[in-house]
Amino acid sequence: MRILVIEDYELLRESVAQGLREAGFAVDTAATGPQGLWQAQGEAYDVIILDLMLPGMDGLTILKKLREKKNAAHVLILTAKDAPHDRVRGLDHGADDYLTKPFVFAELAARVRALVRRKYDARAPILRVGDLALDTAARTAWRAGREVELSAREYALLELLALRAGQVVTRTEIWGHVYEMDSAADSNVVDVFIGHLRKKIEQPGLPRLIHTRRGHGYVLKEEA
Amino acid sequence: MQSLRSRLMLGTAAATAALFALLGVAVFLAVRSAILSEFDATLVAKAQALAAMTEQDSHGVHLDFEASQLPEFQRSSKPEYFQLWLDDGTTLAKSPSLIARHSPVTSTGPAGSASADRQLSHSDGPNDPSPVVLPDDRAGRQVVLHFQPRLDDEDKDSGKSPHMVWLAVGYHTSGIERILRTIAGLLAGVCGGATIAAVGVMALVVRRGLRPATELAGRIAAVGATDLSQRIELAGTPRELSPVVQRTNELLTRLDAALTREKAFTADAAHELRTPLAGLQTALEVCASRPRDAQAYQQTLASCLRAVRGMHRMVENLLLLARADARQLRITKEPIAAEPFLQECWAACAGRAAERRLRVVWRVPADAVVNSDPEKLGMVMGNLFENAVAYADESGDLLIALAERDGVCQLQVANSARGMETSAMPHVFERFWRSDAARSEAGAHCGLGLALCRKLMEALGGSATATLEEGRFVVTVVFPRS
Repeated sequence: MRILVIEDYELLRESVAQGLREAGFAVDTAATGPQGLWQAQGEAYDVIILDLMLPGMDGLTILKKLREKKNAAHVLILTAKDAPHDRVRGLDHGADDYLTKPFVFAELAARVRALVRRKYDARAPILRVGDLALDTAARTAWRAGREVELSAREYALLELLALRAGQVVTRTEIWGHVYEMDSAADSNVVDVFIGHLRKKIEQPGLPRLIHTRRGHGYVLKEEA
Repeated sequence: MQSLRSRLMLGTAAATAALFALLGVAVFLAVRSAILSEFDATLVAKAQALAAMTEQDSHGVHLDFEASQLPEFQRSSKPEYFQLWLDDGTTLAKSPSLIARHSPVTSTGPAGSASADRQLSHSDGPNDPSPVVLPDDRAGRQVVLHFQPRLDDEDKDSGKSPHMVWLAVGYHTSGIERILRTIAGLLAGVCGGATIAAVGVMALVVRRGLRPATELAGRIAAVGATDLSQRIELAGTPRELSPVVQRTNELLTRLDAALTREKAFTADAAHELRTPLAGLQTALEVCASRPRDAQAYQQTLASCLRAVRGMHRMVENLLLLARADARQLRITKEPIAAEPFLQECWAACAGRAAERRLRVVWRVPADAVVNSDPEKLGMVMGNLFENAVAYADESGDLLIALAERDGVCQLQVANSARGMETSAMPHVFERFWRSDAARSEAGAHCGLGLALCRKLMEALGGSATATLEEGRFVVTVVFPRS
C-alpha cells in the first residue's frame, strides 16, 4: 500500500517514513505544501499523512483541493493543533482521521492500516480468500492453516490482491500501490514477483488462487 | 479609613450640633441680657425713687416715712433691702428686712451699725446693678448710688452745706433666675431636638446621595474575575464618578488584552514544542522497534541530538522573553568597542555565510564605542546575524552598518531577500511567526528570534524595526549612546 507523508519538520518526516516502510508500506515524502499537493495529484496514494502548518500552502487548503478533484486517497491529519474546533474543522474539510503530535508511532501505523482497510471496504483485520488468511496487523499469511514466509514486498502484493479479491488488478495498479516513486519502473518486476508469490502460496493439492488474466492483470479468487 | 458615609455623618452631625448649641447659647444670652436689663432698670428706678424720698433738713438726712413701709422691704420671705449711709459710714436708715427681729445686740462695727443687724455694703463705690449675695445668703443684684439728698425748702436758704449720702438697694434675682432656667431648658430641648432631627434628615440625604457610589461598587464587584470581556456601564454614573468608571474600563481592556496575549503565547509555546517532540518520539520509537546496526543508531542519536538542541534554544528564548516581559532582566551597561564586539558576534555565522557564498559588507567605524549591556546586545546581534545568513538569497549580500547621530546609535543588518513578500512585513516581530523560508529550514528556527530582539532592545532603552526595500530585508536597531 502506498503512503504519502507531507510534513515540513525533517526529523519527524523521515522517522515516520522509515517506520512505515519497515511496516511494509511504500512511502513517499514531501516537505512543502505545493510539493505535497503536486505529488498527491500525480500518483494514486492509499493514505496521505498531512501536516497542517506547511510552508507555501497550509494543509487544509491542500485537503480542500484534493477533495475538489475527488482524490481517492484517505487523509490522516497529523498536527500539533488539538483543540476540538481544530479537529472538527479538519474532519469537515474532508479528512478521514486526525492524530495530534506528539503521538505513539504504533498508533499512527494502526490508524494507517485501518484507513487502508476502509479504502478497500474490508472491515475485519483478517482477510480470507478460500483457505488463505491474511492477518493485516501482523502482516502474516496463512494457507491451509500453515503460515507462509513472505518478504515485506511479497506480503504487500498479496495484501493488495486480497483486498481486491475477485477483481482484476492491472500491473499498473500493482506497480502504483506496492512500489515507491523512486523505484525503477519495470513491468517485468511485477511478473517476477507474482511468480515468487505463486511459488509460496500455491501448493500441489490446494486450489489455485492467483489467476492470470492475459492482457489485463491478475486476480485473487477461489475458482478461475 | 472610615467609610464615606460615617465621615459625612460625623461631620454634619458635629457641625449641626455645634451650630445649634451656639445658636441656643446666643439666644439664651440675648434673652438673659434683656431680662436682666429690665430687672436692673426696675432696680435703678426703685433706688432713684428712694433717693428722691431722701431729704436733708435741719435735723439731718432722713428718709421719707412712707418709704420704709414699702411692703417689699418688710416681708419675711425673700425681702428686698436698702441701706442709707453718710460719707463717714454712719448708717442713716435701713430697710426693715435688715433689722434683726429677735437677735440680741452683739457688736459694734466700724460703720457704727448696731447688734446683729444685717448690712449691705457700698465699699466698692457707686456702681450699676451687679450681682451680690444678699444678707439672707441668696443671690441678688445691688445698685449703689452716691448723691446729694433733696434739701428741705426751709433749709435751702439756711446756708448749711449739704451732705453726700450713699444708698444701696438689693433685690432678689430668684424670680428671674427661675425664668432663665426655664428658658435655658427650653432652648436646650429645642436645640437638641433640632439637632437630632437634622441628623436624621442628614442621614437620609447622605444615604440617598451615596447610592450611586454603592451601586457602582456593586457593578464593579459584578465584573467576574474570569470573564474580563465585561465593561462597567457608564450611563447613569454621576459626573464625579465617571473618571473612575472610565479608568476602570480602560484597565479592564488592558488586562483583558494582556491576559489574551499571555494565553496565546503560552498556547503557542506549547504548540511549537510539540512538533520537535513528535519528531523525537517517532525517531526513537522507530529506531527501537527492531535491532539495528551501530551506524543506524549513531545516525538516529545525531538527529535526535540536533532536535534536542533546537528545542533547548527555543526554551531558552522563551524564558528570556518571559523574563523581559516581566521586567526581570538585569541590565548592566558598560562601554563596548563596537568593531571587535560585532566581529565576535559574527564569528559563529561566518562559516555558514561562506557556505552560502554570501558577500558581506562591513560599515563599522573602527573607533566607535557604544554604551550598553554586552550580553543582551550580543544576543540581539547574534540573532540578527543568524537570521540574515540563513535567509539571504544564495550568493546574495549582507550589510552590517553602525552609525552614530543625535545621541543614538543605529545598527543595521540587511540581507538580500528577493523572495520575501511585503505581506509578511507586519508580522516579522510577532512571536512564533516564521516566513515560509524559515519553516522549511528543518525546524531549526522557531520564530522567536526577532521577537526576542525587539524585547531585548526595549529593555536596553532602544528599539528594533524592519523594512523591505529594493529586495532587501533591513533590520534597524537603535539604542541611546549612554
